[in-house]
Amino acid sequence: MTLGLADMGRFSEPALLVLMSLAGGDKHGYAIMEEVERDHGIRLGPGTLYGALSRLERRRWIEALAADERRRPYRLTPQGAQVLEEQLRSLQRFVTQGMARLSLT
Amino acid sequence: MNGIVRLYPRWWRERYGGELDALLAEHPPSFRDYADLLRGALDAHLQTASRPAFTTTLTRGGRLMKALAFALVLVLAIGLAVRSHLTAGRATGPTAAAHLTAALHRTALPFGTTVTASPGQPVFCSPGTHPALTVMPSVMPLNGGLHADYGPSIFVRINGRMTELQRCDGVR
Repeated sequence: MTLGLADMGRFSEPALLVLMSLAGGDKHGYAIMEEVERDHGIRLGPGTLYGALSRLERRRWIEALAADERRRPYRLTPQGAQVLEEQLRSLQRFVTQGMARLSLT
Repeated sequence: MNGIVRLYPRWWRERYGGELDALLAEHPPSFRDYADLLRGALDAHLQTASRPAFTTTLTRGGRLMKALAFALVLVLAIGLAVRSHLTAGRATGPTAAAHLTAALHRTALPFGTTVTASPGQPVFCSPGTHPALTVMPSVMPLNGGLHADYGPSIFVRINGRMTELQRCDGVR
């Protein structure tokens, strides 16, 4: 059985935000936190962020790069990019259906 | 290492402790962040308990018990922190706000009602234990009378305990 983002429970949304952030380039934890808050207005707490990072890394959807001093950047893996793509396509279908029901398309 | 990072299990600290510590140094945590970190620490302990390949001398049941014990300590710590946060400022001086937590006479007050000192209202004090308490019109004294006609003392319930407050604004 393939594990998806939904299997991450309360970490599903933070994990999606992290994958989305890393799709734009390699980043360390603090940079991810800042970008998510700036682009989406969502404040990821440090405990939530690292809970999501540890889960994503365990599933090999992201990988840690060599540490820059004490800060360690992360990179999206091909498997992670595929999961993100599937999730975005699913959201796209959801949005399309919702817009159609509201006669907005 | 930031004290709160030490609450995470060892395997987690060895892998993520350094970078989380660096993040907290760069971005000092707020009260909300501390709560989030406590929740994260509990989550990491539960992950430890559910990791089948985790190599340790503890049995799976032992790891679960350890995680549950940690959860219990965490709940107590959060309770104490919240209590301390709610009561902060009560004893900072005679004009500090006082919190009434239960009913006065037959007038039920919602939990956490704040009675703030303001000029022109009678002031009652509990010697040594509470800051001055200004009694507002919505607060009825237990020993009867209208709010404008208080006696030399009133009985109020503070933190669940009936307390006699003496009038201390010099008016008799």
